[in-house]
Amino acid sequence: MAKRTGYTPNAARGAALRRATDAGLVAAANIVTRSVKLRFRERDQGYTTGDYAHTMGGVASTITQSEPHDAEGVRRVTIGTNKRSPEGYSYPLAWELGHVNVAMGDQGNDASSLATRSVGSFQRVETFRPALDENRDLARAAFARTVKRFLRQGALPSAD
Amino acid sequence: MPTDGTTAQLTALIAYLLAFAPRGGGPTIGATLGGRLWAIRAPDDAVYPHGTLRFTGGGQAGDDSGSRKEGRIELKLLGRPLKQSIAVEYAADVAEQAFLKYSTNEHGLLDVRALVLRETLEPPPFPGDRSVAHVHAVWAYSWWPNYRTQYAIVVGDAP
Repeated sequence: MAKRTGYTPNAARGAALRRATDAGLVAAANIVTRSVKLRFRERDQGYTTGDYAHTMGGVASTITQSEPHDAEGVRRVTIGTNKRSPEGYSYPLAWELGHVNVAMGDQGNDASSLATRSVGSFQRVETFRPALDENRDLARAAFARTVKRFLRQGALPSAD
Repeated sequence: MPTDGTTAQLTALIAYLLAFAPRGGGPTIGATLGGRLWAIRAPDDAVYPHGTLRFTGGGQAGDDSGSRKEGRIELKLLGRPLKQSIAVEYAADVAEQAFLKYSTNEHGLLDVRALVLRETLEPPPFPGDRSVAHVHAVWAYSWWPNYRTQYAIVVGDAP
């Protein structure tokens, strides 16, 4: 019987597609990670106090990007930071989602105010989410480009 | 055709959330928060518990004549002292019910899709206020705003 050419078993196709998908995810994530780091290094875009301010480079050097992994039924790359306070608290999380800062407050210290009102001001500087939103198209294009390149480069092994 | 936009939609969503009566009974969000649910951010001297609602991450999506927007609705609930976490968690529970399968066509068709995040934040160490209870919830939405759909192409009516 003539040997079939150009035939790739499904398992091999699946493996090749997974490799291409992982490479695409890394390419897409690199764009977002770079944008996050730039934001922390640039004036006025990083957090605003202590060693988390842009002037200290406090967070930019702690940005992490995971390897592609399975989570909640999809393949994903996680971008984050391992910056923690000495107590182990994630200050960047408090900045991203907002927090009340008692050191920045002038809302009164009498008993009734302390009971029901803020003694500090609400502060928030979002960095990660806007970086993802603004680079969504670029990241998507990088993903598509990389996957296509991987599949065209003969990454599909032949059964022959 | 009304073409009112984002502020009108946000105001309508806030009014809806405040008034939504949970099916199993219990107080509304309006009663729980004393009506203090603001757009975008709360006044600096706001009494607790209170909350804010805003749209984030909006972008054009799909091929519906370019008229569809997708993004996130962010609800932030704050309580102080920490025992108010019971109230703010309850309010977030009611908001989850209110936005479950919610669709409105008052300012253009708006569908609230999945709850994508519900986070109870641990009070941060000093100088963060350790007495603040903080719940953060985010939904995805799709919206065909009137101010965009009025430009949708119809026969004999090129934009």
